[in-house]
Amino acid sequence: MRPRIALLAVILAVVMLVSATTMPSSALNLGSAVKLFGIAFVVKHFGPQINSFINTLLVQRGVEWQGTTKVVPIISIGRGLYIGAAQVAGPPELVKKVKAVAQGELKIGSLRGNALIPVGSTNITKGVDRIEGVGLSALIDFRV
Amino acid sequence: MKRRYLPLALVIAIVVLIAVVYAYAITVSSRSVTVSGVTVGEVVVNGQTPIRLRLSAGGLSASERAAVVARRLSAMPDLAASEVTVSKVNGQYVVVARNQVLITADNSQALEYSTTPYGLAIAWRDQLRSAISGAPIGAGPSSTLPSTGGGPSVQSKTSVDMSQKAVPILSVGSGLRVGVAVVAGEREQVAQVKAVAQIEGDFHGNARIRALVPVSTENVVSNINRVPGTSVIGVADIRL
Repeated sequence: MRPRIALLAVILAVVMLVSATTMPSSALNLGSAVKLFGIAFVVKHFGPQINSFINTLLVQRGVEWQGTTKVVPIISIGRGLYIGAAQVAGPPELVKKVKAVAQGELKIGSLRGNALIPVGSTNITKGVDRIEGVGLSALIDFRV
Repeated sequence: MKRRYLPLALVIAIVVLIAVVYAYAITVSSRSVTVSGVTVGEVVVNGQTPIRLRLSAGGLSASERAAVVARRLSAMPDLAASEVTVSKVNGQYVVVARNQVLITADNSQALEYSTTPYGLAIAWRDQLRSAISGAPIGAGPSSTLPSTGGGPSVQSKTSVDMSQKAVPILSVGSGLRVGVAVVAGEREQVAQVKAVAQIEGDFHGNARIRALVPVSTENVVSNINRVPGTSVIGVADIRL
C-alpha cells in the first residue's frame, strides 16, 4: 500500500511541476508555486515574464533602462534564505554574471533598511561576490 | 594718408584673427608605436595620447582605427572639451562629439584594459577632454587606462569617481514619501538625483512590482526624468 501512495505522490508532484512550467503565469497562482516549489523555482521559470512586465511598465512611463535587465532571487545574508526577487539592470556582460541579490542590514541615519547587493553566486553564506556596475531596478513581492 | 593705413590695419586684423583661431585649434594626429613587439595605434591630441588602441576591429588594424579617430577629430578643429561625451548607440558605448561617433568602446578593447565598455568610454572621454583643454592626462578626477605591455604611455588604471547618497522614495501618482533609498553611480550623475520614483505594478494579481527609478526632480506626479548611470543599492521602508 505504501509504495502505491509514494508512487501517487511522485506522479502528483511531476504533474504539478509540469503544469507549473507549461501553464501561462496568468493561469497559475504564483503564490501557490512559491509555496510549493520555492522562490528559486518561480524566478527561474517566470523570471523572464516578470522581467518583460517590469520593462513594459517602465516603457509606458518613458523611463526604460538603457541596458540589460534580469530578475533574480533576493537571498538574506547570513541565513542564506530566499526571501523575494528583484530586477537588476546594467551593462549586458555584467548583468549576465548576476545570480542573486544579497540583502543585508543598512543604516541610513536613524532609519534601518536593507542593503541590496547584486552578487555572482547564490551561495552567500560564506561571502559576498559583489558585481560592481549593476544596480537594482525593481523589487518583486510575491503574494503567498 | 589715412587711406594708406586702412589696408595695413585690415591685414593686421586678419593676421591676429588667424593667430587667435590657431591658438585655440586642437592639433590632432595618429601614429603607430611598437610596444613589446605589438603594434598599437595612438591618437595624439595637443601632444598627448588620450586614446591608445591595441586591437583591430571592423576590418581595420589598430593603427588604421587610430587614424580614423584622428581624422574625425581633425574635422572639428575648434572642438571644446565639454563637447566630448559618452553615449549609447545600438547597444554599444561610444565617445561622441557634435553628434559624430569618434570611437566605440568595444568589449574586446575593454577587456584588454581590465574594464567594462562603459568604463573604457568614460576613460577615453575624460582623457580626450584633458588633452583638448591642455590639462595633463591623469590629473584631476579624470579616468585613465593602464598600459599593458609597457612602452611609452601616459595611461594608468581606470578609477571612475563614484559616490552614493540617500534620497526619498516618492510614489508615482500620489507623490507621497514611502521610504528612503541609497543611490550610487558616478559622482556628477549622483549629484543630479533628487529622489527615487517608485512605479507600482501588479503581475497578474500574484506579485507586487515596485520599480525604482532615480530621478532629477521631486515632482514625480507630472514629470519623471531618469538620471542615467545611477541605480539603487539599498532601501528603507517607512512603516505606517
